[in-house]
Amino acid sequence: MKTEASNYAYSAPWKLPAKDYRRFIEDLAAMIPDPVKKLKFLNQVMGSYQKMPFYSKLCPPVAEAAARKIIIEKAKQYCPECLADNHEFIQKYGAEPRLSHVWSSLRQYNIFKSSGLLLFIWCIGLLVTSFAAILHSDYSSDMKTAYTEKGVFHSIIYPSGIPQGKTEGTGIANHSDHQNNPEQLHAYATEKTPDHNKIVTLPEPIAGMYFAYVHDMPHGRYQRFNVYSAYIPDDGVQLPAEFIAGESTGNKESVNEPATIQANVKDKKPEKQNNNIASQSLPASDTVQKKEIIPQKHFPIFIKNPIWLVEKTKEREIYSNRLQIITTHTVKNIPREYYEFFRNYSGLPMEDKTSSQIRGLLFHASESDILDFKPEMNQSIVKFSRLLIKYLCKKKSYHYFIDRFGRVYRLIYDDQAAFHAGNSIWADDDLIYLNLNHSFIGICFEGRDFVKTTPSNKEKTSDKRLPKIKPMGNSSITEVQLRSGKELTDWLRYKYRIAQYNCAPHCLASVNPKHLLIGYHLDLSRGFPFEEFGLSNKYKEPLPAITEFGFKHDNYFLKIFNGNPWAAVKISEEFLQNQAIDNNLKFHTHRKNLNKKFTRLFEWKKSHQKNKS
Amino acid sequence: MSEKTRKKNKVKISDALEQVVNPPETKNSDTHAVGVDIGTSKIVIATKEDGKEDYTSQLNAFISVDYSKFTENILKQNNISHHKRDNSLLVYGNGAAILANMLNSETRRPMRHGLLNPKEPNAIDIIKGIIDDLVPNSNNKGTQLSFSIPGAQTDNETDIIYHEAILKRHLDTKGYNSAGINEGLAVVFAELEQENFTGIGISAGGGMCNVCLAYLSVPLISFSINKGGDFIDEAVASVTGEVSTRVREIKENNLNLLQKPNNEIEDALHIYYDNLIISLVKAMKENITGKSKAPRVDAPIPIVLSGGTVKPKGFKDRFEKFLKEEEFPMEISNIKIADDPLNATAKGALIAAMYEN
Repeated sequence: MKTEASNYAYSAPWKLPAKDYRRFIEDLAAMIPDPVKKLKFLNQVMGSYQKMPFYSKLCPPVAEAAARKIIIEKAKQYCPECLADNHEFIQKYGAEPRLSHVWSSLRQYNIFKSSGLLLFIWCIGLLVTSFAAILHSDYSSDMKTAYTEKGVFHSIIYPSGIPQGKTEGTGIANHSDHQNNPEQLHAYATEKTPDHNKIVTLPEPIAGMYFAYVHDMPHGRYQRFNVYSAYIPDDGVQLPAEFIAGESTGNKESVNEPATIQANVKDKKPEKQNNNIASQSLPASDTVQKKEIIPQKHFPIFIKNPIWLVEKTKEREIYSNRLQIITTHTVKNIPREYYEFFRNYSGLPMEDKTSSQIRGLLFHASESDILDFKPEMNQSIVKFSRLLIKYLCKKKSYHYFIDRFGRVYRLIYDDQAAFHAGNSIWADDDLIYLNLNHSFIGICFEGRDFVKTTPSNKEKTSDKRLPKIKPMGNSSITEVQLRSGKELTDWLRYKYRIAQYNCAPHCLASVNPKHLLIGYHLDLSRGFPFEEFGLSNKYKEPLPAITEFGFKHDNYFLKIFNGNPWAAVKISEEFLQNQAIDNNLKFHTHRKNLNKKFTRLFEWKKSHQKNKS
Repeated sequence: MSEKTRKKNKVKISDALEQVVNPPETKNSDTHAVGVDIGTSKIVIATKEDGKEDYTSQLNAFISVDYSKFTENILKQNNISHHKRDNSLLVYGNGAAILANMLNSETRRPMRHGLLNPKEPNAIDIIKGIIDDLVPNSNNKGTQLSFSIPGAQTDNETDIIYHEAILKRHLDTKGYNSAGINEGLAVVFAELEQENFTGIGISAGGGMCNVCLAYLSVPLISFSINKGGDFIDEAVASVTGEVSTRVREIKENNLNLLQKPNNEIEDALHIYYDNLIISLVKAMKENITGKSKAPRVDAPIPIVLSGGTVKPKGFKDRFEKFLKEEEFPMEISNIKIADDPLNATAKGALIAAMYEN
């Protein structure tokens, strides 16, 4: 027997939407500040989902389109003001025009009542799914992954391989109308989007299948094309030069992390640059040279396998992935609270809208004094670590600290800020983060990878600005530290659903905001084992500080690295050039505009932080 | 009662009544939504005005004193809620507790285990009286009101229907459009807004503990157990020979479940608190593992504890300990005590009423 209360506003039994929809609903609900409106939204969405005719759920794509439409409609209904600024977000999630149109028109004409049509749609759905499954065993899960990453991925499938001499390749088009039709697709790619699509002539015909997904960057400043998976059976075939960061795999079964592909700019001569950015003197990076096909490991965007708390005592927490966190040194700090700067929105954030969500992980090295890692130094190493922890707790510097024996200490509670990256910039597809103290978790490895230098008198006279540090031959961070770091990273990524592109070493995010320079701190600037951590190599990916705000680097920075810093710097500079070309601007004008944008946001943030405090 | 004792009592009563705080004024408000927590030991009303929640409460208890014109006048002069029944005066609300203390006797409860007390003939009148004191008549026809009702137990579902119907009928006569809301769900509404109303809300009150597992505001599992603060008071009183009122006083003011007990009463309180928590955790485990509709959650979920029974220091830690020992089937992200444990249910009911509006 059911009471009225147990039926409160609903009719049991409940069927919950699929996991992806639920996540989508959660994300949207999180944007609604008013609890009553949020409740209304959730009730309406969940109620509407229950009312969806069962037969619509038989064809997953139609059900998906219908569910998304319902969710977006309800979100707009209950909180249009808070969603107005997130138009792009809605479009990303809600944009499935063809499917949703199909759904709405079918619903409008009540065609679903016809059981014959229902059967037909169902059969089509089954056929499509089966076809995709044959082509690629992970097809459905790939699409799902793409969806949950908040990106709109359009699939382009070549069932019969790439013809000889045809020009195909990088990122071809973001137009799903031409799915399964290479000729139309090729025509579309060459006619409609010549600027953004690299057309590559392959030396040999590639027999087999080829999958490509195009990922639109929403802000439109540059487009990053991603190859999602490629199957090339002939070992001798090399991928074109434009495959910068990612290499194709010879393994049909595996699904690769999207690899960055650089847009072709050869046919467009960049404006002559009269600025003196140091990158002009950079040596040719290996990223612009042809590369051999090297099997690439799969980097999961999110950690999916569950990691759970196994045991908790007053002293430590033990997790299912072997991670142990010592909690005896944890201290309190201020709660997380930061403004969200939307990447696709050039205006300032709402003053009363802040977030406390954990968005990423930033890896640090303590750069403290390091003793030799030998048994006879044991006591001293332990003592050093203890003193360092005490100091870090006092300064509230990091959330987690990993000592040289790989022991993980929680220094600050996760839901509170730590002062580990105040002057730092990072960005993902949705947001730009200025000051990562509140939005990221700081993980510090006890160790250093720089040593102080004492220039000789001769050097001093020849160049007054010689670097005071130089990279060590080998990092002092131990293997056990990295192993613990990996366990901690996995757990945090799983717990807070942190995307892999938001996990980076401090050096890549650290900036000097006054002089608009990157590389203010340089900890972990070489040899971070991204691959072992299940992350893509951030040393080879565009730096948000440069691509979003036009930051530069100076000669001092170059000297530290002997003129050979991360490939990311060069890639980012080239992105900037492309942006300038796309916007018909001179390079330095474009960079100035970006600098102005940063100054505006930075000043605003500073003033509002002051006001708040 | 002899004439002598009665006279003696009259003096005491008059003294006592002077100390009684006047019952809260009934607000003749134009608020569009009202939340009411009708608990075994307290009735709390929540309204929202100028963006701020406002709470008023009355003890859900009464005491019977012999009728005399003198006593009735004193009660009226002091604005003490009372009700004349045959040859006795039923004093209810906050005044009842003070009178009980003065007279060294026990208050009586119109509700038992979250429902109308079938053994108490005056239960309905008393409840209505307290509700009338707290809940104003609505000026706007159809103003929404949500009141809490307990979760079902295996043997009391029919009782809940009766309980809910009686309350709803009375509240509707006051001009409201009333509806019941599960007490545990109300706690979720009140405390887990940040988590998109996903988690387990527990309201541990006087008569019982109500639990609701909600996912995106959908109540998936709700139930209650027949143990609450009163169970602890009565059990401790029974084994120590103290009166329940005294035990309650010690429980509410001095008890720290993290420290070793200082005396026999505290020792007994520790034992029965543990017993209550174990029962609660076991019931949670059984209900969640036994239901096929328990969601496969993507992420750990939080638990919120509210109600007067969770107030002693260390309750959360004891609960966490037993939860871990019991190997709870869902992953828990954190366990927290509600910001305002005594008013959380009323706040949740208010949110539900605003939602209905």
